[in-house]
Amino acid sequence: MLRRIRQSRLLGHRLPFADAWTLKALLPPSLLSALRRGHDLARRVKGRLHLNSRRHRRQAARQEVEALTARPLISLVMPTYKTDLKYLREAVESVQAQHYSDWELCIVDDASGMPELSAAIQRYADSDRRIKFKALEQNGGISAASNEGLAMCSGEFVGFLDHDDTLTDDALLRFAQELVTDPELDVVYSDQDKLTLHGIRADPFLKPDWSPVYALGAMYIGHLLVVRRSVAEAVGGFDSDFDTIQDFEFMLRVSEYTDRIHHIPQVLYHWRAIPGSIAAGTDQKSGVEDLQPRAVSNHLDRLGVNALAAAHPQIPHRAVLAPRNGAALSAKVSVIVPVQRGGRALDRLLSSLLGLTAYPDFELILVESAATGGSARDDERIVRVEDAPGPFRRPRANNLGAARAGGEYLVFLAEDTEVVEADWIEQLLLHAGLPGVAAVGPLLARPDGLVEQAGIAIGLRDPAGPMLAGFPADGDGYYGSLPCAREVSALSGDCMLIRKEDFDAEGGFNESYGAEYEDFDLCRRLAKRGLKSVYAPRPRLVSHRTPAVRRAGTDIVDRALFVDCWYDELARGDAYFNPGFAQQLADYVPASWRERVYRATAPLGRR
Amino acid sequence: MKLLIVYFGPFDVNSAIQAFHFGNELTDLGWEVTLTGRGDPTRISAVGEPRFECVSHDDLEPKVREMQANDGETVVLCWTPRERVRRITMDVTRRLGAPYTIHLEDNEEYLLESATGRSLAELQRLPLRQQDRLVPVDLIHPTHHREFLDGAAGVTVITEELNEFNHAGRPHALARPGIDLERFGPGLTPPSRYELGLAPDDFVLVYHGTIHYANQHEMLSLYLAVKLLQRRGHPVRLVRVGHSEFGGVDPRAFRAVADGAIELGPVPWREMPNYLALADAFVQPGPPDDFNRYRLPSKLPEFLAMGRPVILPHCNIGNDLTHGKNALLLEEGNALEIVARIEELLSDRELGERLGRGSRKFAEEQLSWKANSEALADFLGKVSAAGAVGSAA
Repeated sequence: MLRRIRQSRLLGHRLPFADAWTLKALLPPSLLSALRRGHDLARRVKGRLHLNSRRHRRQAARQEVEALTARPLISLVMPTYKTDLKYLREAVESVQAQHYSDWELCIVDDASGMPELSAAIQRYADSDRRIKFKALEQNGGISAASNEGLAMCSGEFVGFLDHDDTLTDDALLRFAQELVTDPELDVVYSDQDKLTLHGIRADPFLKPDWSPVYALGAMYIGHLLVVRRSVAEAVGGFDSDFDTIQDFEFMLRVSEYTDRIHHIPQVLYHWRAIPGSIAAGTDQKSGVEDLQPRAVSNHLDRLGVNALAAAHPQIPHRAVLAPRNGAALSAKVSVIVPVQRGGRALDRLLSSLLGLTAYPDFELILVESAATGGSARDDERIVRVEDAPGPFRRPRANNLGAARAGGEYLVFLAEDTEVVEADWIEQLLLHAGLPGVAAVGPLLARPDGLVEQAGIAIGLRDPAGPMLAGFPADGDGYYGSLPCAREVSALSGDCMLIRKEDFDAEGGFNESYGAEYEDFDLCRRLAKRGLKSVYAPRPRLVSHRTPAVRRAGTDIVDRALFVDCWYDELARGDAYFNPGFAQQLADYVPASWRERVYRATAPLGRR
Repeated sequence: MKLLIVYFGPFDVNSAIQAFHFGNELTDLGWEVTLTGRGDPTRISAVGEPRFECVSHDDLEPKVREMQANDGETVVLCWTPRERVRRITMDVTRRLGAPYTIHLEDNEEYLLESATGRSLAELQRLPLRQQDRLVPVDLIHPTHHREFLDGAAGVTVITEELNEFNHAGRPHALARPGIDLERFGPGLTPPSRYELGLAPDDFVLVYHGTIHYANQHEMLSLYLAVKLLQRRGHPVRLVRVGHSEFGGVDPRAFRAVADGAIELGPVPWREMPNYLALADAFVQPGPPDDFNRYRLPSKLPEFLAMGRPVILPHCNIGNDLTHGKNALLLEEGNALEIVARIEELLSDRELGERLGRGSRKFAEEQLSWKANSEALADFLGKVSAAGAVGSAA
């Protein structure tokens, strides 16, 4: 009986009113209430499951296509060379299966010398007018073939598809939606994963939003990349000198032309990991370690940045910054250390800093108070500032120090850190010289060689958290997130370099914060003005923060103040930490299915 | 003339109080009023004694039959275009051939998007059956609400900004609530401060209202402001009345800053004026954003009538108040701005007294149930005379 009633439309809405009343009158209120609750739960669960059914996806995609107010033509360029026919079929048919039909596929065979390949492509071209085919008589390399493909395109936008990769069914629809929503966009890229030889999807690469600094060190844009055709043509297409990393080098030039670059945080491209491709491993294609720094150095040169790129000494397919031709950095730097406890930790910092620092033009400002003690060390580079009376307040102490600073740059440094590299200030300044960068934070490692923090991610359960904490500091992190400099949403005041002009323009640290979160708050205020905070893999400093101090927890009022000030941003999540990751910790673990469904369906206030 | 007010929720919450007062006043003006709401209609006695008939949604059928049988024109006033109200209205107006007017009191699209986590456009792209499944009837229907609004004979709005949602340009009128100036005002006896754990020199803020998903951020701002003031050495306390659901971006921080406030939970509405009399000032937190711009929190008329300084966002009714004369207006609405405004009051007692007098005067002049109900009756009469546009929808 109950089941029948539940299945009836009694508690739904499709039953005419009068009948519903009649039936309801037969049941006691308590039973009705229980049935309503059960019905409500069932309705919600059914609604959510329905979202994931294939039939629904097709149906929903059709409606989404119909809802588009414009349908830009997207031309896909696919150079082929000695392509396995099986993979070619999968690649082409993944394009033909797109929900969004306004595409053309421009295939260029780079003189493979495989008649069966040409014949297969020709058959596709004959059967689908959206497929164009050109066979080159002489092999010119991937850049030349891609440029031939580019010349065949008639779409407003061009995308680049490798001959053995595949697209998800909704890939072009998602791109079209973004391009229609924001007609100013010039470039859009998506997340990607890999396809094994056996067709198994693996190794998802969940990327950050557009990060030009990260793009210097890691070839992270990858696939699927869609560019306004006029932009691709304006930058001259692909450069054959950079075959193997031609798409990376192309993207660097594109980024010099436009910053209207958008990221879709969704895996829309499956990259085939076959022996010989970069997808199968970064040692699979020779020359990357030479080509990549050359491309980046050229790019920096064109941008007028006084730095060049070099291959990372341990991870050669990552690029790191180095001074150009030994160019000297001459800005005066004020290092500010607010003293909370003093004692051995402070002595260790002062010994390392004063003994090791090679940079000539710096002053060390110690903000001390009678209550917290200080250091008796005598050095002409030390400037002593009296802290205000009362309990230690880091924002206030740092502001007092900054007020006395004579440097063009300020470095805020916690007393429990230790300098271990002589060129640490030069390295910070090097990254501060990148376009649009206002603040730089180094890799902070623990004495045991694990990461203490490599930038701060916001919008996590704990509204801001250290990135990559506990990872081996010498490792690659997640797709180069440790050895490569990259944009971050916030930096820790444990070590942060900032241009004094920018610091003053923001009015310094917000002293409404008692002891914490003022550093993250400052970074967010800088971001509001379009200024970036950057994590730098070098220098590395050692943090001697004890587990007891780490466990002591946060000042909850400061934390709530940070949440209150940046509520909407926190709700949106960190632009540089893909929403596909679990949000408990910034450790780049993909979110579980359960978490993604919860976040997609829970009321905004509960996310 | 008969008036059927279709209210979306229970009889004793929030804007049901407004429906109650409008019902009583319109009855006095000669209308035959019926209010239908969710649940037990006797719960309206928590608000006051109605001079009109109250029936639950479940028991509406006999009333509709009675209306069908009797002569006389009927007007249906839909309290919000929410799906529950729409379904009842469609059935009733079809059978009675009566026009309907929709009363807007919130940015319903914002509420829908906040509750479902999806944009309206995204929801509208879903098949209708799935929209039905996904969206609770306590919110607007992504697709049908628009047709419902467009088919109305008229639209009443609690703030003029809400007329932006009257896409079809139906005739509209401002239906601002009033306040019972005898029940809410200076000179009431508050509960014992001692029994509530308040010191004699504590500066007390009183806030009543439910914390829910749409106002979690602004409530965090209020709790946090009190904590920050306490950290700065000010003896400020918050007394809060109503249900609390601590959530939002960081529920842990929310709960932590809420700790220390005096939480009284729900109290009978009749006792509310006495609790409000505890206050040295009232704060309605929140930024002048897409949520607050379109609504008039039902507590604001009560705050204004109490003759105490009121701090509120510079939007909705705040647009009719003058900063420093009869209120202190918030431009950002966050905790730091609330702190600054309260510090102004703490440092200048005379300012508080002046603002209190100003807010009471504003309530007396602008928030009269009688005058506002007469305006509503006049509008409904005109709508009815214009014909049953809405019944055809």
